[in-house]
Amino acid sequence: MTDNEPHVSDLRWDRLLAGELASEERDAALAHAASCAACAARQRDLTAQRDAFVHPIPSFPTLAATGDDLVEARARRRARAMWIAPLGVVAAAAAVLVVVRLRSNPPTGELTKGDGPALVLSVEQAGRLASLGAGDVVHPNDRLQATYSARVDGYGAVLSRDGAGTATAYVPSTGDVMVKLPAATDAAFPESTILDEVTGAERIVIVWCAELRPLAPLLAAMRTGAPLAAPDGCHVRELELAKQAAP
Amino acid sequence: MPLDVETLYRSYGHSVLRRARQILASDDEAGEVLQELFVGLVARPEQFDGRSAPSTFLYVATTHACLARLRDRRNRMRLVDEQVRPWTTDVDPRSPETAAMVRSVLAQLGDDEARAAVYHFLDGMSHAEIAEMIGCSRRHVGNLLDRVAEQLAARKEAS
Repeated sequence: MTDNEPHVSDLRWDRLLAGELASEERDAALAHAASCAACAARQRDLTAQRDAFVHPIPSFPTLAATGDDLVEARARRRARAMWIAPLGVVAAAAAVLVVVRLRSNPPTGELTKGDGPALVLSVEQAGRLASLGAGDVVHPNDRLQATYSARVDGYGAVLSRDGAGTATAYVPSTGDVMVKLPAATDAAFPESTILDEVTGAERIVIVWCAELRPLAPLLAAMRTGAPLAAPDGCHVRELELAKQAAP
Repeated sequence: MPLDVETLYRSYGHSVLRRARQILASDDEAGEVLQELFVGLVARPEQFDGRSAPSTFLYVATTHACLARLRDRRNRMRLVDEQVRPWTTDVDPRSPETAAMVRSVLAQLGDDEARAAVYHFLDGMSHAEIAEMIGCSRRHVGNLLDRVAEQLAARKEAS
């Protein structure tokens, strides 16, 4: 295995682009690129990618919050979500949850860009909490909990379409309309769900809406098997889990 | 002085996203890693103690997060499929075939070997740079990469 010392690594280009390199290191990298077509092309490529980076800043309310705010928010969440409380430290560790980019229609009313909520799904397996992403494996009797961060009051639901094609509202477990979700950071939906024995691909959709909405149209859309289009003023996080028999 | 995560995100987010794409070969998952990492920094700013450059810290954190994902069984299955249909975006124009092959074995490698493979084959780092990132000798880096090369050769023979 030979070393590739003469070429400029991506790390070095990234450091140069970020202004971290000392002038002599910077000059050496640029001098090398001046005589190496591959490195010059890589420099152009990485510079272009940096310039094109337009990803929205994640979780606007979360980023705006201080560490103390988050600790308090987690404390509130634990107080509200009774099933998390016995997990103690594990729950605190898992409280730093995945924030996803949301697929949504342009919001109406008072919602503006940047007010979109962060929606997260976590699972408790064998006493441990973990955030879930598309394709993750869950098992019957696992407990699912959705959480959210939102700057404004809203309403929400957690919907499911299981491997048998049955669409169900996990949250709320009873009633015909969404639950109220007060503006909060890293707060739990008011109910968690224990998964039943039906295995297969299970699609979970977390919905947050600025206005109260009935569940029936959403469940009807879920039954079709097509991705759920976010209604106006709503945000949706959808992920498909692999529900398998317990090992 | 509190960590300015937003500035960090604007300055280094592109690098985290690009590397996550390189390692995971998935735009969606790369976006999730990007957000996980920076939201995690907001919640636990002490992760970055300032003893290394931000780029170095974020390289290590991104590699760790991506390798953890790759070890997910479903990802391993997906990557086997990708070996048949190599990833051919322009993210790593230097050697897309090698990159696809490396990705296909990452989940099966030991942690140090996987990190060395990412740094060497995907980031183009020298042995000296890898030694600094992992915290070991250059000789050890050479040994790690030799073992990776054996895995790659075995995979190539099997395909």
